This record gives sequence, C-alpha cells and structure tokens, in this order.
Amino acid sequence: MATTGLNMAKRNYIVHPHKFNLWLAIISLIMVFGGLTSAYLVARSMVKQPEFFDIPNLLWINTGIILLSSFSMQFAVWRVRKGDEKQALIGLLLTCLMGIVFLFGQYSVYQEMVLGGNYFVDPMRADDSVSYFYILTGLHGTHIIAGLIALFFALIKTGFKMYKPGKKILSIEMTATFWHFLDLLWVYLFVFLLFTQQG
Amino acid sequence: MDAQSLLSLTKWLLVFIFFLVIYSMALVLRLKKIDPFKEWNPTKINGGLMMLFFIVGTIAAVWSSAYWFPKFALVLDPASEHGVSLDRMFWRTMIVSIAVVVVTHTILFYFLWRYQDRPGQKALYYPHNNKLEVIWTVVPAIVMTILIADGVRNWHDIMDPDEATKEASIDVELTGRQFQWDIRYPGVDKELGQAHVKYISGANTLGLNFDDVKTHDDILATELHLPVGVPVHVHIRSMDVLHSPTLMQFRVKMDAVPGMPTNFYFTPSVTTKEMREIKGDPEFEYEMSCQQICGGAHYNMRRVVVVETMEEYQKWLSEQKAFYTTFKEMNPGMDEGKTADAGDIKEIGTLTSTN
Amino acid sequence: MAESNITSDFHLEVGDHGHDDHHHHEQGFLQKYIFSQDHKIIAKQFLITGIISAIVGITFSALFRLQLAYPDTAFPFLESLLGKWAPGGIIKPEFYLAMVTMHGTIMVFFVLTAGLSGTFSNFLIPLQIGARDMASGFINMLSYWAFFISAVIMFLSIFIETGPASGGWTIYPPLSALPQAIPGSGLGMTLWLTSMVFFIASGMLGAINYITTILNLRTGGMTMDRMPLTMWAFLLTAILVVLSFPVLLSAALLLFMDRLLGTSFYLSDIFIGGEVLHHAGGSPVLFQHLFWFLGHPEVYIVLLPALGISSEVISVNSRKPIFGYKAMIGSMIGIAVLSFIVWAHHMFVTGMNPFLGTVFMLFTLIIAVPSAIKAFNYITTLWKGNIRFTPAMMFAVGLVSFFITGGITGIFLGNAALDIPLHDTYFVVAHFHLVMGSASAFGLFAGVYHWFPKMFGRMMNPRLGYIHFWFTFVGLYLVFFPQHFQGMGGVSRHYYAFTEFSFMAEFLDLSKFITYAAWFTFVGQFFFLFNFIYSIFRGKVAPANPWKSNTLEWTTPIKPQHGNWPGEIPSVYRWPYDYSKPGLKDDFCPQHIPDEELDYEDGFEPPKPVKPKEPAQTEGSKE
Ligand code: HEM
Ligand SMILES: [Cu+2]
Ligand SMILES: [Cu+2]
Repeated sequence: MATTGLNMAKRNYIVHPHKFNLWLAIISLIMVFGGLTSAYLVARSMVKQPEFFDIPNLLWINTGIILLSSFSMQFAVWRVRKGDEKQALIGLLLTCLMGIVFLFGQYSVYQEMVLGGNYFVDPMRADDSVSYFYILTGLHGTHIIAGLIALFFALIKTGFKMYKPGKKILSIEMTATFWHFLDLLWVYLFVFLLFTQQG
Repeated sequence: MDAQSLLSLTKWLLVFIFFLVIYSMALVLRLKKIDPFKEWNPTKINGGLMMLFFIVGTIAAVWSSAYWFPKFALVLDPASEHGVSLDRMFWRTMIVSIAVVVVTHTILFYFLWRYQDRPGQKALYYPHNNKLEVIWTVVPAIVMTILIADGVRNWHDIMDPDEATKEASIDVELTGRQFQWDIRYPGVDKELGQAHVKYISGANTLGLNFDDVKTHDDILATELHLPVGVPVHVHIRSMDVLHSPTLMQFRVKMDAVPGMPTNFYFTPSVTTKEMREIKGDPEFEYEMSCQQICGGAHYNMRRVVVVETMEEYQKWLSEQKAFYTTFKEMNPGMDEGKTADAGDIKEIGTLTSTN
Repeated sequence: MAESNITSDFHLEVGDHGHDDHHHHEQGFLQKYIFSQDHKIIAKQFLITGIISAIVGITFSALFRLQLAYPDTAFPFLESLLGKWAPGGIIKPEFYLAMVTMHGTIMVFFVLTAGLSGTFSNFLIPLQIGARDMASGFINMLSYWAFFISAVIMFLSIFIETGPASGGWTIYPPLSALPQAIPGSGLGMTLWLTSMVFFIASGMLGAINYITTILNLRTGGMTMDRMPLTMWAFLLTAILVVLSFPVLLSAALLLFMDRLLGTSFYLSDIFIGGEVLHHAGGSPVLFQHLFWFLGHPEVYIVLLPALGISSEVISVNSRKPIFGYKAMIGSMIGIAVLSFIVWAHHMFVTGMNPFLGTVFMLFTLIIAVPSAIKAFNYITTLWKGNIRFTPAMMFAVGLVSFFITGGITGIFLGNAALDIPLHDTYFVVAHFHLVMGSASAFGLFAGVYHWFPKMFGRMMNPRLGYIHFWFTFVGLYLVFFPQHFQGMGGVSRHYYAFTEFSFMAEFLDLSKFITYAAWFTFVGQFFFLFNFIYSIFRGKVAPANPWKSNTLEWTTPIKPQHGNWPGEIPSVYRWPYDYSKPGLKDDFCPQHIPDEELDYEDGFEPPKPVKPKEPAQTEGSKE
C-alpha cells in the first residue's frame, strides 16, 4: 500500500468528522463551565452568610459587543460561501475587532471591580463569590483568545483566497461555530452572574 | 569477610546456580528440539486447574473466614444501639452476597470444566433468550429494592434521630488536628461555648471564645468518657485538614471538615467493663481512630473511649477542671471584664453542614 | 496493491500530509515510530508507556506492602533505594503515603485508563469498524504526546526534594492544598496537578476522536447493531471521558488557584503550623463533589473497555455468540448513564444532607442490576460452548470472577448505613481492587494476549501465558480476598502501620500474609514481561486469523500498514458473533463474507442471497 493519504469510502456525512470533533470539544467545554457554575451554586448554598457585590454595568456593553460579533462572523461565512472574499474579509476583521474590544472591556471590568474593593483573592471576605466571578470570566476570556487565534487563521485563508466556494470552507465554518459557542457561553455566564448576585 | 556475609553470598550463589541449571536444561531441550510437555493438552489441564482452583479456593475461603471471624470488630459485638440493627443488616446483606458469589462461581467453574474444547464438538448456537434475561433483570431488581428499603430505614434512624433523643442527649465535641483529638465537654451549663480558630492564642489551642460565658465551664479531656444508655450528640470539628473520628465498636464515623461542623448521634449500650467480659479480654478498651487520610501520623490518632454507668461518668466529670480556670491561672493578667453571653450560636463555622 | 482500488474522493484535511503524493513510500523513523499518526503505532506507544507505568506503580506497592508486613523492621536496601525517605531502612510515614498516592494515581490513570483504553481504543476502533484510521490522526498523535508529557511530569515528581503528592489518589484538600500539612503537598502536588492537566487533555483528545470515528467512519454494512461489543464499550467509555474529565479540570483549576494564589475555594477556618490562615468560605466537600463527579465515571472508564474486551474474547474462545448482545449493550448504556448520578456514594459520611444520601444510595444500588445482567450473560455464553483455554480466554473468565466477587461488595458500600462503619477501611480497598484493579488488569492482559498477533505479527508463548495467568489469578485473590477480613475488623486504609490500635493489631499476621501474596503476584508478572518483549522479536509468526475470529481486524494483512487494508475496505454482512452457526462447515463466519460465499454443510439449504445493507453512510450521525 503506497499511500499515506487516508481515504474513506464514499459517504455523505451529515456532519463532517472534524466538525463532529469540534462539537464534542464544545460539549466538554460546556462540562467545564457547567462544573464551575454548579460548584459556585453548591459553595453558595453552604456559606452561612453569603455576600453580594455589584456586577459592573460595563458588562452589559461587553455582552452587546460579543453578540454583535456573532453576526459579523456569520456574515463572513455566508460571504465566503458565495465566494465573495472582500466582504468576508470585512466581516472577519469586524469580528476580530469586536473580540479584541470585548477583551479590553473585560479588562476594564476587572479594573472597576478592583477599584470597588472586589479582589480575586480577598482574605477578608467570608465567601468566594468574587473569586468565582474572576474565574468564570477569566476562563471565558482565555477561550476568546483561542477563538481570536482561530479567527486569525481564517483571516489569512480568506485573504489568500484559500477557500473554494461551495467546498473546502470547513475551517471557517468551524471557527464560526466555535465563536457562536463562545458568544452563547458568555450570555449564559452573564445571566448566571446577574441572577446569583441578585440575592 | 565474616561468616555472615559468606553465608549470604553462598545463598545467592546457590540461587544463581539453580537458575543456571534450569536455563541450560531449557537450552538443551530447545537445541535438541525436544518438547517435554508435548503430550500435555493445555485445554484439559487448564480446565482441570480451573476446577481445582474453585474447590481449593472455596475450602480456603470457608476456612479463613471461620478463622478470622472472631476478630471482626466491625460486625461483631456492637456497642451502640444503632449498631445492633446495622450489624443485622450487614449479615443479611452478607448472606445474599455469599449466595450470589457461590452460585455464580459454581456455575462459572462448572461450565469451564464441563465445556472444554473437545475434538468434534460443536458449540450450541444460542444468541439470546429473552425470558432468561428478564428473569435476571427482575430478580436482582427485587433483591436490590429490599436491600435499599432496609438501608434507607437504618440510615434515617441513624442520621435523623427523633426529637426525644436529641432532647435527652449529652453534648461532647471532638476536634481533629494534626495529629490528635481534642475532647471537650460542656461543663455544668450543659452547653458548649463558642469556639473558632480565630480565637486561638497560646494555650487556648481550641480557640474558645472566652467572651462567651458558656466556655468558662467547658472541660478538656484526654479520654472520651460516655455514660451507658444515654444518647450522645457528638459535635465534630477540624482545625486543619479533613479527619474522620471513628469509634469502630460503636459503628460511628463522621468526617471532621474544617469550616463545617458536623454531627453524629448515638447511644452507647455496653460499658467497657461489660465488653471486657463479652470479649473475655480484661485489657480490652474501646478505641477512637481517624479514618480520613490526614498526614504522616494519621495512623496514630488514638484516644481511649470509656463507657461507664451514669454515676461513674458523673463522678469522673466532676473531677475534671474547667479549662478556663486553668487558662486563667496560666495567664494571670487576663482581662476579666469582657465576659458576656455571646448569643446562641454554639460553634462558629463559615459553612453549614446541610449542603 | 493497485492504487486504483482506492477511491480517494474524500480526504481529511488534517493529518493526511501529501495525499496527492502517492509515492510517499518511505517515512523517516521519527515520523513512522515517534510522531506517528497511524493509530496502530499510537496504540503501541500507549501500551508500552502503560506497561512502563505499571512497572513503576507495582514496584511502589511491593515496597509499601513491605512496610505493612514489617512495620518496625529495618530493611537496609530500602535506604539505598529511597535515600532520605527511608532513614535506617525504615520508610517514613510521609513517604509511605506518597508511595500509596503515586501507586493509586499511576495505576488508575496511567495504566488502567491510558494504558487500557488508550491502547485498545486506538488499536481496535479503526480495525474493527473498517476504517483506514482515526478521524483525525493528528489529534490522535497529540493525545499520545499529552499523555507522555503527563507521565514524564508525574515520574519526575517522585524525585523532587519534598517528595511527590501524598494526599491519596483522590487528593482531598485541605491536605493537598497546604504544604504545611504534608511535604508532598508542596511542589509535588503542583506537579501532580500539572501532570493531570496534560492527562485530561490527552484523554479528551483521544475520546473525541474515538467517538467521531465510531459514529462516522464505519465501513459499508457496519451498522451500530453489528458492531463488536468492544466498539460499544469504547464508545461509551469515550462518552464518559468527554463528559466527566472536564469537571476534573474545573476542580483542578480551583485547587491550583487555592494553592498558588491563595483563594479559598476549598478552604475555610484553618489553623495549621501555628498560624490561622486567612481562608473563609470555601468547602473541602465541594472538591469531593467535583472530584467524584469525575471519579465515579472514571472507575467505569477503567472497567468498560475491559468488559468490552472480555465479551469479545469469551465469545471467540467459547465458539459461541455472546449471549444477549442487545442486553449487553443496554446494560453498558445503563451503567454509563447511572454512573453520573451516583458520585456522592463516596461521601456518605462527609456530613452531607442525609436525604441526599438516600437518593444516592438508591441510584447506586440500581447500578447493581445492569452489572448483574452482564455477569449472568457472560456465564451463559460459556454454557454448551466449546471452550478453548487460550491465555486471553483465561484472563477474560478471570475478569468475570473478579467482577462478581468485587462487585458484590459494592452492595454493602452502596448502602449508606453500612458505609458508616465500612468507609475508608480495607473493605473498600478490597472492593475496588477486585472490581476495578484486578478485573481491568485482566481485561488488559486478555486484550494483549488476544491482539498481540495483530499488533506485532507474532504469537506470544501460550505456556508462559498460562503460568502468568495462574500466578496472577491466584495471587490477586490471595491479596485482596483477605482484605475483606481486615475491613470487617475495622482496619483503616492509608495507615502506615496497624500497630497503634489493638483491634487492628489483630490483623498483623494477615497483613504479612497479604504481603507475601503480593510479592508472589509481583514475581508472576515477569513471565508476562519476558514473554511480551521476547515475542515481539522472536515469537512464532502469526497466521492471518489465529483465533478463527469473525471480526474485521483479522482480514487485514498480518502486519497491516498505514491505511490498514491494501485494497478496498471490506463490507460487512452480519453481526460479529456468528460462531458455531448451524449449517455452516466452519464454526465461525467472518463478518465480511456474504452469505452466498459461505461454506455450507452438505444438504443444508443456504439462504437466498440478499443484498447487503447499504453502506453505513450517515447512520452514525443519526444515532
Ligand atoms: C455493584 C456496583 C457497585 C457499587 C454499588 C459500588 C459502590 C461503591 C461505593 C459505595 C463506594 C464507596 C465506598 C467508600 O469509600 O466507603 C465504592 C468505592 C469504589 N468503587 Fe465501587 N461500586 C460498584 C462497582 C464498582 C465498579 C464496577 C468499580 C470499578 C470498575 C468500582 C470502583 C470503585 C472504586 C475505585 C472505589 C474506591 C474509591 C476510593 O475511595 O478510593 N466500583 N464503590
Ligand atoms: Cu487522620
Ligand atoms: Cu463510585
């Protein structure tokens, strides 16, 4: 056998195996965040006197930005499918930009928190809801960075016209899926934090 | 070279020679292409060995169980009230288990021996039988249901004692630390005073809050004395890592969790003296151990538990000195003015134990 | 082989370098054996790393058993071996715990998770479902290397100044969070956690790939209900990994924070080393919830592949279809689902709400039902069989025996009330070593003996295999059966010596006996090691289908190359368990041979040729 290429019998996949892999990875990420948020709930239920803190309002804006970025991302995918790289490029750039703005937004949120006396490590507090806030948002942030790296590759591929319309646009589609997931994940975390800080 | 090392050298030499002989024999057989085991039929031999294993194994299991049986501290001679019904349940479960293991293994090894590969024999094509499968789904399910019901009842009897028991109970506090148990009695007011790690200072290693008058008569002891027939409410704390105070003979165990006080109610039903007679061992003592890994000396967190009659217990208690008194003697300049009732909270922990 | 046979209309985008370049015969050594993306090589890498880990892990146990048998005796050789950890030849208590912890971690994660499921999932999945390789060879390679890094870090941690992690394999905080509590909780614990992060990454990368491959890349005719039970077992194992390992990651992340940055996720109200720590609000019990949410599925991650392997091996070697194929699948699914809702049975006495205890007791004891079904089905498979005692077969039936004797004690432990006295005694040790340790190790051995010919193209020596089996089978029973007695005597686990309590001291003799048995077993393993290494190079060359098995892996060349089948991948016409089917001349009936080409007995009316089911195609994604 003289080939190193792995060819599969002719098949019509509903989901391409690599996308399937991605979905499974997303499921495991859901478990990570599910684990952390349930840990938070359990921890909260055990503490005799839970304390509360104010969720910085800036988070609403950040949420808006990340929501918008999903649209530009999807726009880019549609354009690539149509073979319209120019517009796709714009979409991708916008998405990247919003991703970066989101990260900076999160950074300012942290600054605001710290100014308000809500530290990640705070020996004075009798519960650790603030620590959970940092852990949840921080971990989400690192995944945004991972998403940005994927976006960067998609940008290059689009820029160099490596996508063929109708075919072989797997990686940008996967990037989009991942990005949408991060978006939804953020919404979940945001709502979760809002409700748990409501007393 | 002394005789000792010469001896051990020869021993190793002999072992070496032994292996050398075996190796050369194997080599000769191999070179001459002789296979001394050629006539052996591995299927027959292994089938036979399986049967042998089963028979010898069964005998060994029965014999060894009988031999060790009298030494079972956990499932013989319970010294508490709940221990009696717990042990009964244990033996009921044991009977079921032994039945299952014996029946399945008998069949398993019989089949292995009986249905060995034989020339000309063809196996029976028998892919499934729904009736059989339903049977061995339903039967275990029923047995499990019975065992679960049994377990739930006992579990609740132990963990949720009724109000009367709670009323009648005496309090005692066990605090685990690396590596010892601190035992605290409430003293004359029958209530344990506030304690928290933040109050620890000097000799006050338990962190009693002396601002709380209830601590002033609290007694620290080095042996756990308990009156027979009276419910005990054990308050369990830990100072550092997880511990697990275990009173084997009373079937009592509950983790000590830093920050989260835990509880256990039980009623000792056999005094130390009576147990010495039952066991026929005049030296016998009840012992308390730690059964949650907690560091280097985990294996050595021992306290003696003494169960005695109410009178003996009262007498012993009255001989103990309140810790506060000792502490004051040690620290003469101590501020006396601040003693006030600190409220109803018995212990401070940051967490509640109903998670 | 003619290139034209290969329909190359579909290429994976990752992991098939140079698929346009069919003249790519020679791969460098590095590419072929080290950074290989071929599932068979990766499987062997997993196996060999697993075996090396096992040697380390078992050696630890042999050493600490010595301590338990002779608590006060000095063994000078220990000092030369362990240095400052055994001054004067007596092991220090802290190092005793370190050894126990390393033993547990290495055996559970490196040997019985990576070494078992990593090896056989990788090796068998593409071969048994008829695929050229995994869905992504690249991810697969990453999976191995993450495992490798993880193992290296773990082994390095043994040699550091403060010693390796010492809090037990379950690393409960605060013990594992505070270096003041035990030396191993310093750098050793940090390395443990780092190693575990790589391990989790490895497990997930692998599992994701296994699931995708099984669901999407099956050959024509290989519907889900025609898959060998090994495939079902590996699929369910992988699903468990994807769902449970991430939670361990969360738990480890929080523990990291507590240790390195001083947060208090798991810590509260602590006074240690003469000072009060400023931690409040965290709960050690929370860690246990997170850990066991992984931990319980993990024990099935360890066991299910072994059960899958033994199903296959028992069926092949008793020349009978596995009894109750559908029930076997159903009970594995049942076990997998239930394993997510029983975790708190490890925590009955942590002070949790008694009502929760009741709920978890209920689910826990329900698990016994699917387990029972499996055991009975194995036994019925043997009934009226034509049993060939190959070494693999012997290990597989040994597994059944261990599964029963070990599983039955779960009924005691799952009963919350009975768990009060039994928790953390040797009864638990006996339970999980039989049902998880021994049974899964037997699954591993059965797998190696059975698929060695396919892995290395040579046969292992059966006689050494028998000797190995009897040493191990007898030895393990001698070690773990008496531990029930110790448990019923109240002997606590994680004890450095049983000398301090009079009711435990009663069992010192027994402890000695167990140590002898452990060494006996230990010695027996060298037969395997020798046989394994020797046979790789000098074993008899294997025939194409040495066990007369039905499954697809035996239709490949004796030493399959990259891509597995030189020509087209065979299609599948039936389930894999048609052994001793009436009317056929042979007592087996390979999956890939159509009905009309089978060799029927004279006078037997062959069934009319039916068109094979259409290729699996999109089947997987619909499941
Ligand atoms: C009949 C089904 C089973 C039941 C009801 C059951 C129940 C339990 C319970 C309640 C415990 C906790 C004991 C304690 O710590 O006090 C336990 C421990 C354990 N079980 Fe099982 N079990 C079953 C089968 C299995 C199987 C199939 C495996 C592995 C393949 C397994 C592996 C373990 C392990 C590793 C531990 C100990 C963990 C530790 O504390 O280090 N069990 N089992
Ligand atoms: Cu301890
Ligand atoms: Cu479990």
